[in-house]
Amino acid sequence: MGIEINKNGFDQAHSLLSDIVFKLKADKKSEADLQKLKLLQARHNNPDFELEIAELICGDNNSFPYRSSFFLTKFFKDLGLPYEHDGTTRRFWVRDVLLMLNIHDLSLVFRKGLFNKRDFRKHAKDHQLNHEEEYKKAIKEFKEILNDSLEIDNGMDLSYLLDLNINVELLFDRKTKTNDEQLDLLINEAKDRFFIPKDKQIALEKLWDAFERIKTYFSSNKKKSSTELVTKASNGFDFKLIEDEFKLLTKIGNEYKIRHHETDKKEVTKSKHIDYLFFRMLSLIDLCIKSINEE
Amino acid sequence: MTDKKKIDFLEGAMVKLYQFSTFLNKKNLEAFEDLKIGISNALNEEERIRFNQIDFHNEEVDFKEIMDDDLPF
Repeated sequence: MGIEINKNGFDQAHSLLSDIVFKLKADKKSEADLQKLKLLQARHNNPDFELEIAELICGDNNSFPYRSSFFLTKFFKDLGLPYEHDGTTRRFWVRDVLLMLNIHDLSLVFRKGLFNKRDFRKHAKDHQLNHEEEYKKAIKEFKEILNDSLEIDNGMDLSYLLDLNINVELLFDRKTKTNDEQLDLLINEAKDRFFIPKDKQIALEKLWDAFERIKTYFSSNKKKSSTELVTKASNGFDFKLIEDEFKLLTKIGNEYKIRHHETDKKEVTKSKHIDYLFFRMLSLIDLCIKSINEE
Repeated sequence: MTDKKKIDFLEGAMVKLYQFSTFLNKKNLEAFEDLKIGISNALNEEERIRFNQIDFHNEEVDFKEIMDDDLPF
């Protein structure tokens, strides 16, 4: 038995690798490169990206002009791309062609092919539709595919599922239960969101909101109530140390974009710093809740 | 792997892939599979998923080896 080479597979691999090289070399200050990087991100995030775009090119929906076999070949030839429809199922054939195109050619397909106004005018005239409305509808549909592809998250953090992190054992395994239902909700939501990568910043904000709330656990007088809380939390330990931790974390919450979002606030951009602040705050809140529940 | 090393590696890999695309056979199949593993290891998760979905070759059926009994007619 011999080997039958799949030429299309090699072309797909070449495009994939050249796209990755482009991603690493791209000029992040160039608008054209940034547009292609965004497209590439959508392409790599969504395994069905090419198939979804193929359906638009074929017009297998209501928004884009229908293209028969002849017009699919013409579509690519008009863009200088030498592909000829071979009679197989149209959308799968187009998907396979798109897989062979690098991000520069794909960008050309979008700019000069998919949104070619002449095709839309003809499509609208043939079906007695409003050309402008059809064009807007098509843009909306395309944008939805792009946004959906970009929003596909990175999945679940395995450390959460496998309980590999000691912090998970100590701080995440139990649901918070105090006499303040609102406080419990804030802490539990922060814990739940923390393991969804795109929600980490929100988790941090929720936790800081919980911290501000727990300071008024004993009375609405924040200063009096938080002193009582510090006293309980430091019982048998070091009042000043816990008080300093309260003050420092309050300062961090006020100076960084955690509780306030004014332009002069500093951003916490790196995931490792969000993790650090999250666990530092969660440890303090956990200590406070244990101390409250000991009463 | 730094970006620079990854670029150099992938550019080299593209040349090798091109060469295999013209003369892949049973004798060099193992070397080709090693190249694929090397490429796969250099990629991040999303890139690797895409790369591993690619079909580079099929087994070519040798009709001389098919017995009459295997045929459906």
